[in-house]
Amino acid sequence: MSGERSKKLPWLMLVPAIAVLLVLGVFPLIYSAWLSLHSYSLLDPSRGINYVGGENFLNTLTSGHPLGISFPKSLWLTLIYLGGCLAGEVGIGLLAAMLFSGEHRRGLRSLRILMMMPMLLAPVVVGNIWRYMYQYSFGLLNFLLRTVGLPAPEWLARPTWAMISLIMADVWEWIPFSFLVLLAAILSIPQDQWEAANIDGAGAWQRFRYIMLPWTKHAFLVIILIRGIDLIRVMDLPYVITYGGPAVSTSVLPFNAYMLGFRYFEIGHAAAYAYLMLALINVFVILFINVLRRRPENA
Amino acid sequence: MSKKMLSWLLVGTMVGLLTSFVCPIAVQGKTTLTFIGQTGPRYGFAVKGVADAYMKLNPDVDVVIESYPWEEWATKIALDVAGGGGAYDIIWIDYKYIGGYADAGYLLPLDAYLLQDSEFWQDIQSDIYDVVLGMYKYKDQWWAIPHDGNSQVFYYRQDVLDDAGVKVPTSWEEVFAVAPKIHNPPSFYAAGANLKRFWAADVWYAPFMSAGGYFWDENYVPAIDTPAGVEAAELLLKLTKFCPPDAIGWAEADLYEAMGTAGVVGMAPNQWAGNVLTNPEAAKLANKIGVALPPSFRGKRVLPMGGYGLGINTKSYYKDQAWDFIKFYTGRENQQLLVAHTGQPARISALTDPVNVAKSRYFSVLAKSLEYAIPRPVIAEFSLVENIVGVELNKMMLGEKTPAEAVRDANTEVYKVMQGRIEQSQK
Amino acid sequence: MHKEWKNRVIRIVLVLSYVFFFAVYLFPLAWVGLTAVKPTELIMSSPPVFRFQPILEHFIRLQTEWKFYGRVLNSLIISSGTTFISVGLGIVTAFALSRYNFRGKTFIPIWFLSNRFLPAVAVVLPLFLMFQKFRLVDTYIVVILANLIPTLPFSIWLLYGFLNDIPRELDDAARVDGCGNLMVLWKILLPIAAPSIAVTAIFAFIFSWNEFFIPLVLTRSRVVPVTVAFAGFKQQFRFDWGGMSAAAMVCLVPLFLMVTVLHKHVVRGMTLGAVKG
Repeated sequence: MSGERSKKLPWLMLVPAIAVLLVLGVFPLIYSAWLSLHSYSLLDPSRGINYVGGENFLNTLTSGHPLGISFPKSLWLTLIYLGGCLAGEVGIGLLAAMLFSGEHRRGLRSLRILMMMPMLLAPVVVGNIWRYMYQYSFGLLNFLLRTVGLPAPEWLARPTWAMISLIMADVWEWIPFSFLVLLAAILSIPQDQWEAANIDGAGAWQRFRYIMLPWTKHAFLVIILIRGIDLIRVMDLPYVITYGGPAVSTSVLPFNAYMLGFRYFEIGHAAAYAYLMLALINVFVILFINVLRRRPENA
Repeated sequence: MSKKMLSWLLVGTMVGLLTSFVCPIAVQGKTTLTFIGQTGPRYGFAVKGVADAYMKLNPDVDVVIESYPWEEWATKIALDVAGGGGAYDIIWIDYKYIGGYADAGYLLPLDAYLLQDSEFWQDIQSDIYDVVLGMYKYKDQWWAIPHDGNSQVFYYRQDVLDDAGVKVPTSWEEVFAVAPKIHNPPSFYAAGANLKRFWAADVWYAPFMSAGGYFWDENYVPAIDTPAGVEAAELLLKLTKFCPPDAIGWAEADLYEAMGTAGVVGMAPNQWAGNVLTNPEAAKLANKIGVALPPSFRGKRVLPMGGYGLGINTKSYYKDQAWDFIKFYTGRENQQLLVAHTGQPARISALTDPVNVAKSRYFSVLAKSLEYAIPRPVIAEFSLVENIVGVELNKMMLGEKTPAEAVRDANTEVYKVMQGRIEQSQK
Repeated sequence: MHKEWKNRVIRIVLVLSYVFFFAVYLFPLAWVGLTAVKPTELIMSSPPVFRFQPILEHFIRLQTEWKFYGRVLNSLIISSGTTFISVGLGIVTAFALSRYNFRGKTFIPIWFLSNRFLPAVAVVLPLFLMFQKFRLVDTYIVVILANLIPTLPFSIWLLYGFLNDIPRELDDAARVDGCGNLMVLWKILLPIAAPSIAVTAIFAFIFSWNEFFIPLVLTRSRVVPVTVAFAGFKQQFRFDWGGMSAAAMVCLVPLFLMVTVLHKHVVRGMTLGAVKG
């Protein structure tokens, strides 16, 4: 590789992707930044686009008007949602992966394909399926619970249950993702590690702690990063299942941004809201990239 | 194998790039009228039925119907407004957007057409209630022709009331006297209501206005936390005791499903869905559903109403053809066709036409209900106001606030929304 | 003797837990499948009905009432376009990132990934206005390009991890044989990375297929994909459960076929990427 050429060549290869993302991602972002300093209502466009300075940001951070929920409170709900979903996805995904990585592997292939199906459904569909099952009087879940003789919870009518309902639906849809990633990680653990553990007479917990966890650590981080970002960014499930309710008890950040932008049509305010969300996601990601980076140094 | 796969990948990339540049080409030589509306019975089904007949009569016109559920429909129109207009020719518009979109120059004033077709216009004026027609007049110009009159109606299970030996309540006071006799969960809930967010506000309007309240005074200073507002909120809270517990998360469709399956006996009056509930093809229990005027409150019956009209986009290339279609759609002779396709007409003659009433028996009550109707506010801020009020009422239902607190907080928030208008009107 | 018996019990317990897991986990899906062939009047009945004469009416209605199969074709075109572009660009970009040294080598991969963080609400309106200027709203190219916002960063990032895992000694060996840089990519890296490319393609396809908000804003009537068409089943007065369930089943078919065909690669690719990344 001679110096001059090798300096230009990588950039030549990077330019197309950079150009595409500049046009599609950065330009809209700059435009949004400009919008976030203005008030612009699409319901009453004749009022025009007026410069208001930092008022949108200030308003978002201090009052929660007109959403009925303040930004910090919504952030707290988002963190609960995020934590619940990630715990469920990773936990059940790990259990399933361990179950399927056992010696009994007949029919594993077709089972794995079946297992992927919920992830293939559009979130809009998943949301509607679950919403239907959560109905208090005629929903399927309560029908089953009553048949077994258990009390039927008011799924979407109580703040706590509504959050649980959201988390359950999201976990159901995304288990396949964590399952597949973790299964691959477990299957790639070299056989000699297990044999060595057998010789040392390690118990189940020790195997888990000293073989399973170190070898799947990276897979965990990948799952948390990808799913974490999407949970902060995407509003499909809260939008379909609870519509942020009851009252505002499941109004997570992306749902609020959607409400501001496309229900109240306060475009400037929505842009400011989205910017604050973006800042949060960046914090989340920088934290995680640092954790990801640290690993090779330790290994 | 990998070589083969890679060549496929390359070929695929090229095909992908190529197909992505192929844009569908519009059919030339035909007038294409794009219609944006809503999906489902009363909306998209009716439009399709009438449009098919229109296209049969006018083979050189192609009416393309784009229909979405309410949320997405509102988004689509707002996007077109932001983008300068021109995407749609005929716009099925909610009364509450008339003001904002007329000011923005998005809607075409129809006065010139009305002058030109004076016979049609006189017919419309004589056949549609002034309150309905008036919603589409703004700054002394006409912006849309209503094809849909919409006021609140009370639906209930006739068979259950008969079994309990109770008569249909005509006032809210009677409702609460009767409700305990019917209420027997989980088989029967005396009431049902769609209470999710702004829908809760929608149930609250009628008692609020019947008790003498209105959203603001003549200078747009909000007056929600008046005694009328508190009373209506208390009424709503009392009503939720007789609703299935998850009604707080219901939109309209949930309510109708619950009416069909979950033993909801009386539906909090609202302005929708008679065409589903009383239509045996659409609802199993249709024959057991009774229809009555909504209850009065404190001796008065004020029913806030909304509705839809058909307007023309200023940037449309085919304004005359669009007008021709609107005339066809709202014309006296096509109302039976509209009703046959689950439509809900605005014309009094259509609402009382025996053929139509046989198809949709709630029409006669709707026509009567329109006599008590007053339009909800038509200013652009109103959709924010109803969201704010709805959320505060929801908080009250969860027990986080008392009715007085909820109404007070709603008032404070609404004041912020109305600030610009208050300053303007005080100048 | 005793041990063999114990093993057998463990095996039975394992099989039972598989069955239980699947029964519970896939139940909602089975329920949708059942609803798709249920007569409309039985769908909302309470308690639910499990025995009935299956019908295909909903699948026919999809076409007559919703023109749904045309939407499936739109979705196929859009998703394939997005997948090919994002994988194609992704390979080149990832190769440059992983095999060359240049300024900003630590920053640029993160910048690429950061484009995936953009909340749709912040970008769709400016995108709409931009494309509207060129009269391009409601064309395939625009939806394909816009779908690249979430898929391209993801593809680059995954492929970057995969290519990083391939030992550099292989490149050097090829160079000794007289291969240029691009030949190294073409002849050595791509064949090895084929499974990872399959994984990337699958995920790009799924993400693009399920994208709702971007196409909602950027389409009108011609290139509407299935996700946007799905919204129509939720009408103001009733929910077309039969139609939606049938549509969900129809949408599963192409994805299911793809996953089945590429399944072997997926698992191999997963192994590569997830562990070492």
